[in-house]
Amino acid sequence: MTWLERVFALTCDQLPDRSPHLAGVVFPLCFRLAGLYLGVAAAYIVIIASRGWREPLSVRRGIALAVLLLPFLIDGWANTLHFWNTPGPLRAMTGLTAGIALPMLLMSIDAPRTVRGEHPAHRVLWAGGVAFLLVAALLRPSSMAVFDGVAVVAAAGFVALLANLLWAARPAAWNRAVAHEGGRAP
Amino acid sequence: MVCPRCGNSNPDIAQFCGKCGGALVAQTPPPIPGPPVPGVSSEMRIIMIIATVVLPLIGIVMGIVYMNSADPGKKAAGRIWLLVGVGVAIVYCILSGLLSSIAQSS
Repeated sequence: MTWLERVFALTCDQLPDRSPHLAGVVFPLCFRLAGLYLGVAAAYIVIIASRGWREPLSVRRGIALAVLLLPFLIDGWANTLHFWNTPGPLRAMTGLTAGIALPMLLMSIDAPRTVRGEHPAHRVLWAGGVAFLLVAALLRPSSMAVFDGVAVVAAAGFVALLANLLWAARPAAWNRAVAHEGGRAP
Repeated sequence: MVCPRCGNSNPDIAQFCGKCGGALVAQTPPPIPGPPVPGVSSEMRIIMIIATVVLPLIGIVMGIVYMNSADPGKKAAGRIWLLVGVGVAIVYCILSGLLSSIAQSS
């Protein structure tokens, strides 16, 4: 998995004491970012499986998703600024909750404006379950194949998140929103 | 119909004036201005974008709230704030490794 190490070296410190490892092999991501991208991958799996990519968010559910970002932000900054030192598995869990929230927030941007649907809460629980299994497979890998497989899933989550962000910010969608905001378009 | 060029009265179905031959244009009432679009003020938009870049959660929460508004202008502004908020949050996540490296080296 040397190629993954090189790809993630641009985005992660990859410190051995802050990263999962198996038999002397260090995972290409630190605990926190591994949890983040595994959460992202789990969220996309559940969104696609439940056909939930066209459902807008209500205020209550949207804010509940935003709250899931808080542990990542607070603990991440606290560790960076040396306020406290969080154990690796807990770091992975803070990344996991943020990873579940980001795709669900991004997907709601392209949801139809006329539909007033409720984003089902159980989708978050399903994504949490899938992500927890992936993180458990990372923390207690049964073999090197599982260890490498989890790295590939994390990389897929990373790529999917970037692709989703670029799609949501594509020029056509951005221009439409800006024109609409100015009251020039219907 | 009155000719706009010479002022001669013509039948309503006439397309040209019977006196001067000028084209007769049907009189249409001026468009009635609609109610003003409440939308979001430009100052609010600038403040929100700056606040979102510093603290992405602000843009995410405000974006969700405004996206659920009935006003199309507010809805569109909410979409932009949510997009910028999530985008900045992702960029911060990606750069977190870089920030950690800088903090470690210092």
